[in-house]
Amino acid sequence: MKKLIKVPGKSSCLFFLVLLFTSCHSSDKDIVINTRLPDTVVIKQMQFSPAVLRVKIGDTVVFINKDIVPHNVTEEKSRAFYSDTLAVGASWKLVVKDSADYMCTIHPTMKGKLDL
Amino acid sequence: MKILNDFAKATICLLVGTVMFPWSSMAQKTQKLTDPQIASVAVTANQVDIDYAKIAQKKSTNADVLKFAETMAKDHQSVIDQAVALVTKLKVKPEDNATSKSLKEGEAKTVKMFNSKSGKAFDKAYIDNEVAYHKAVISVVENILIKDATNKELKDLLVSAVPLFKAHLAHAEMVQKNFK
Repeated sequence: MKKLIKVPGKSSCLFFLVLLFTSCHSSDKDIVINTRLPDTVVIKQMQFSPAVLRVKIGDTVVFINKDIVPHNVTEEKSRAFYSDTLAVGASWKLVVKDSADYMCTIHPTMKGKLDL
Repeated sequence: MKILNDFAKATICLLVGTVMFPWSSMAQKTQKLTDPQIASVAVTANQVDIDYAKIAQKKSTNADVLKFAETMAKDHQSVIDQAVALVTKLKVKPEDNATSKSLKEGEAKTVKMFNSKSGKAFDKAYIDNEVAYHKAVISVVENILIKDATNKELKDLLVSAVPLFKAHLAHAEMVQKNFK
């Protein structure tokens, strides 16, 4: 009789805590997988950084101009994409459709690459 | 023989540099520049290149030269705007000095030379001058202005301008290849 009304012991509590923690943990993991952060290319000191970025089709790449002069981001071969002039502090988003060599047409020695 | 040739080339470069850009060698001889003097040299050096670009925009019909001149006018104006904003914030008044005066004197001689030329000869003279001018400016900024600057923000602005001037030099050299 005494055993029937006994409150759960320490081991049972520990089991439920572990169960709760692991269920929360797996839920957080799912969220991270489903919301991949956009890749970033920083324009600074007359360079695209990183100069070569590994991407997948459908990825979003954000270009941020942290330099002291305006720049642009232009696909090199056929002008498949063009950011327009990015003022100092401005940013521009690109959804990747293919690998690309790109440049700044204002400063033609500045070049970068999106690699699939 | 090769050593003699190299020596001759180096001597010619030094002489041409001293004649065309006397301020670059003059600055090395003078005493340490103050921040107000550095601000004056920085603004003047940028303004001189804007003036050259405006002449090119009037005289040239070459697409590469015009595009380069447009970039020079915009970029150097952007540096001037930032330098003026900084000295205003720091309450520093740019102060004329031997180097900035020499820059203006050099500009007067170069403008005279530009005015005596037209067509392809002008394009070549303009782009050759841009290559030499940017080399001289980079040397002065790296070896004198950055070292002499005492205010950290002024020093940082000068440091951040060096990659810009080096990219301008690479761009000028790229255009220069069309005139050789």
